[in-house]
Amino acid sequence: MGELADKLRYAMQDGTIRTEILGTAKLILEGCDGVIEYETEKIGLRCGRRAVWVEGQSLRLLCLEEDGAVITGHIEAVRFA
Amino acid sequence: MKKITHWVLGTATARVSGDTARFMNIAVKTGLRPIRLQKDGKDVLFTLYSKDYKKLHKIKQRTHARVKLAEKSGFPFRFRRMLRRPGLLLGTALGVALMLFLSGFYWEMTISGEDIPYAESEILAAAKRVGVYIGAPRSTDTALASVALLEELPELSWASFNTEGCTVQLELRTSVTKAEGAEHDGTGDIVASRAGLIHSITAQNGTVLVKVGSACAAGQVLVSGITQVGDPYDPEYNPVRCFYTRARAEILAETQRTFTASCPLSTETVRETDLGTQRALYILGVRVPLSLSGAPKGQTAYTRTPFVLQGHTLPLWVETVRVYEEETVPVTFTEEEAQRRALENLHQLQKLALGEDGRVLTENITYQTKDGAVYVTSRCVCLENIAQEAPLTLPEEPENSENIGVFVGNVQGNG
Repeated sequence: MGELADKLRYAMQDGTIRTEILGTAKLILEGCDGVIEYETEKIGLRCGRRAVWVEGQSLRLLCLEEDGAVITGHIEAVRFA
Repeated sequence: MKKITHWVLGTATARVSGDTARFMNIAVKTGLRPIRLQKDGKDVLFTLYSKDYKKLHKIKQRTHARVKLAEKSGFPFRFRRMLRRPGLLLGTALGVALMLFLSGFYWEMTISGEDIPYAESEILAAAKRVGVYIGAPRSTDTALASVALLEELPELSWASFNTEGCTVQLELRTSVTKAEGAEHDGTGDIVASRAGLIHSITAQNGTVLVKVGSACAAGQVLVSGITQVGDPYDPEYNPVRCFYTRARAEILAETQRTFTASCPLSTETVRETDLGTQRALYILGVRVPLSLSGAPKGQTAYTRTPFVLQGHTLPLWVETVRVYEEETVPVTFTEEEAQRRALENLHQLQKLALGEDGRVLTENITYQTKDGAVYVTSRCVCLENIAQEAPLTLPEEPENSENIGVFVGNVQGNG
């Protein structure tokens, strides 16, 4: 049921990536389905065909789920590729 | 709350090396929810619940990553360690069971109240008879026991057993007896209990018939209960009305008394000889003897010494039994010693006879030794209260028989 709800939500979002940045300390990303790279200065997340790169200092994956992730630390840049 | 949950369920931290990104992706896709993800150099510290740790094995094989257990904490691991020591678990369980069992009894009893006319031992014995004592179950009906205690100790006006945990506090109140006051009802005179010379008169009610400095005989009416009221319009103020009351007065007079006391030159006294002492320790009511030998036969005296910790009496005490025997021993006094003792007896007699208000003014003491005893005689002049209540003495003929109880006066008016 949870998987079905995730798929429905993802379909309703039309495959979009939803990013929420709280100040420079927290980033909430919905629509990702995996980690590409995990370093303290750079975290890469795969979102379908795209990728989101978060750069900064002391970055940390606070939470990682099937379709979302929460990154904390000193965020300097967010790149969409 | 989160920390409590983590501790109760137990957490394990795995150090993942190699393709850490793929490892994390597959772990999350298979439903594992990491509690914490930390980067440590090239490795990732993957923290999850202990029950999910085994699932990492398949992911490790699939991703060819190296996974090592870095840390484990929580209740499941501690409990498994405790299982290796069954004695510890058993002891803990027994201790908890014992504590729960002992919590069902009263282990301390205190008594509070002022001017209680009973000794503590009497109160405790009465409380035990009504079912409240150290070691009694907490299911005892203390309200009923309070009522029963008042019947056991009739001089109390109120008793209450207040319980708090395993402690019972017994609060007591004494009944206040009405002080004997002066009798106001009825009629009566004050007469002299013995002959004497009036020193002072303090009259509260009645007609005083004597003066200070006058002599009086034993039985003489000093204060009459008859009060006469005269006609205010009569120039001679002849009494026409009488009130009959109870006379009340204190009359101090100098009287002459003779007191005699004696003391034998030889007598017998009882001497106690200790035969032995036995001690026993009582722990929660269970007696543990501390003496190895049995108690010798004889008369016994018990004393109890409780242990007190920070003001609380513990259910732990030492009972000491002193065994002794009595023997009659003759005692001989010298004449001086016998005279001294006889004089002490004489002074006690004087205090009894004269009361609190009286005292000896002068006395002449003489000693006589006769028939193996010393006799002391005191001829003294005492100051004492000689007022004594007596029935009312009515006059033989009424002073004014036509007018007793009736007021007759001259009324002048016009017409």
